[in-house]
Amino acid sequence: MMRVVGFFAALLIAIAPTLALPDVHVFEAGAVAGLLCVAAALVPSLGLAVFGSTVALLVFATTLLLTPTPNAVFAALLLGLGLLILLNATQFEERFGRSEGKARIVGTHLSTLGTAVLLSIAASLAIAVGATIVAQDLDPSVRTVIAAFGGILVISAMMWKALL
Amino acid sequence: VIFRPSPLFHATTIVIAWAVCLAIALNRVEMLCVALPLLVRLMWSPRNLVVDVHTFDLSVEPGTRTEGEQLGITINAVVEQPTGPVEILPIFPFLLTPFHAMVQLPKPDGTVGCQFASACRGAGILYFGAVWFRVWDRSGFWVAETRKERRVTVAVHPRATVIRTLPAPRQPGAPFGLHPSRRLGEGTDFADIRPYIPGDRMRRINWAVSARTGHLHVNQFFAERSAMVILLLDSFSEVGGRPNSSLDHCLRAAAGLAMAYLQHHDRVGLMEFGGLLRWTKPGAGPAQYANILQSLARVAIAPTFLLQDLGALPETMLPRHALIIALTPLLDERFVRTVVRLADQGRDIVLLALRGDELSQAYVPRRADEPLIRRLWLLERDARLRELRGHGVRAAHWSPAMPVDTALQTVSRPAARRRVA
Repeated sequence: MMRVVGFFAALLIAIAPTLALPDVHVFEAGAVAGLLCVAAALVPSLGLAVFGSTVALLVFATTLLLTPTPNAVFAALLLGLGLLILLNATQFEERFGRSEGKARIVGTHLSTLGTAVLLSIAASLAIAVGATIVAQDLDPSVRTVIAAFGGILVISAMMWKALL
Repeated sequence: VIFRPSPLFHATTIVIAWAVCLAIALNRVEMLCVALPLLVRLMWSPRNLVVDVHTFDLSVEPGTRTEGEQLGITINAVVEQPTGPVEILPIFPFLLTPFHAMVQLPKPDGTVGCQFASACRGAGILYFGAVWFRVWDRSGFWVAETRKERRVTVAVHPRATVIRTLPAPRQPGAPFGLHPSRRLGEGTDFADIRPYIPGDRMRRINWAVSARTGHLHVNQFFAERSAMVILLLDSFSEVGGRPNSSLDHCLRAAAGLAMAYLQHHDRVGLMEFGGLLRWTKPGAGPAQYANILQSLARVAIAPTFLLQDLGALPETMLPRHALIIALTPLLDERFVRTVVRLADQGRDIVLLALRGDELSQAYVPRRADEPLIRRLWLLERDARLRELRGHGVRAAHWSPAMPVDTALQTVSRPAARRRVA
């Protein structure tokens, strides 16, 4: 079951760059990233999933560099959700794939993951819309500083979560 | 027990860091949108600071087991403040068939429990002890591990090999056995014919001889006696991997020999000779068989540099008239020297030399699997057996692929029996 979910996530990851920029080369690059993610879900290997995710991020970033499109935020959100589901599904299969009693916890895990996906969609939309409104009248250099500050804030939050 | 970040946490952090770095480097806010679902999930994961596992219990089905039988193991525990699935990872003895870990969600009161059914692959004492509990939170980002211990011991008896050919002792002992002795008496083995004496039983009359000679003649038989048998196990070293090592084959053969001799009303004892010197006094009956099985379950390879001396044992432990059956892979020189010394004392010894080369095929490097090396090794082994035979030991090769009876048939008789004059 979780492998199917992982496969679905890999599909999201593969089509996200094409949604941002419909192009054959972008589709091919997205397919390569998607194949890596499928392999990660089938093996299953969390390390391979991280590698596939990184490739997908690089492909998506390159796509954004080529031509900014209005669908980019939606595609980015899809990619983020795909990565979230892929990492969860791969980790679940890697940890509990051979355990007895796995079938009894799949439902609980999927419901938790579904709730997280819905929450992520809501939060991402709110933040994306808010950021777009706030950033409209800002100078590009200030936007970079704000983005850097936000990044540092995110990293700090993760460090705080992990270490404290 | 404190929760720690799981591999999923680290993986998610790496992906978020990549997305944030790309967002800053490319000045694209969309890359932050990629990281948002992951970030929200990460921040939303509740981190329980402390979890504890108590009221731990590990129980094994009571009673002794024999090789190949199933063994039921039950584990119960109570997890304090459970948040997600709990993995139960017991460390079971390697002589049990492998099994998978158990994962389950604790009940509302925190209890978790599982039952494993595992087959005993080999004989020995199984020591159960540690069980790991891995507690996850619902998000999978946090994990805590704790180890609980409960000492439980189970004896697994060897599966007795079916043996039909039993080496006859040179000097049978007490009456009421099934081994023919050299003395005349009540038995089934024909010995001689003599003239009839008043008082002889009518059914003993040999009518053919009586008719030919014109005088009554009767048949005479060898008396049947019981034997005292000591099973001598070589526990200096073993070849192959358990549960198919030379020690396992010797244990099964020893159990089979003990069963067969005890069924013949003989007295059987056991001596483990290796790093440890342990023995079971000779005895008869089903209780003695249970004692021997218990002792066989305890046999283990104990490497040592000491040289034990069986000749110094008291007479009650190693009676002079007992038939000694040595089961050995013939690897340790100390065991060979001891057997030679016992044979020189005039003891009746049968030696079954297990062919270790057939058991070690899977373990030796390909270079050592050359036919020439194997032939040289077999020649050395043959020379050693000839040397043992020269000392009066009834020695035979024993191939693990063949029934033990095949080897026993070559050493079943001590010597050609003399005719009674």
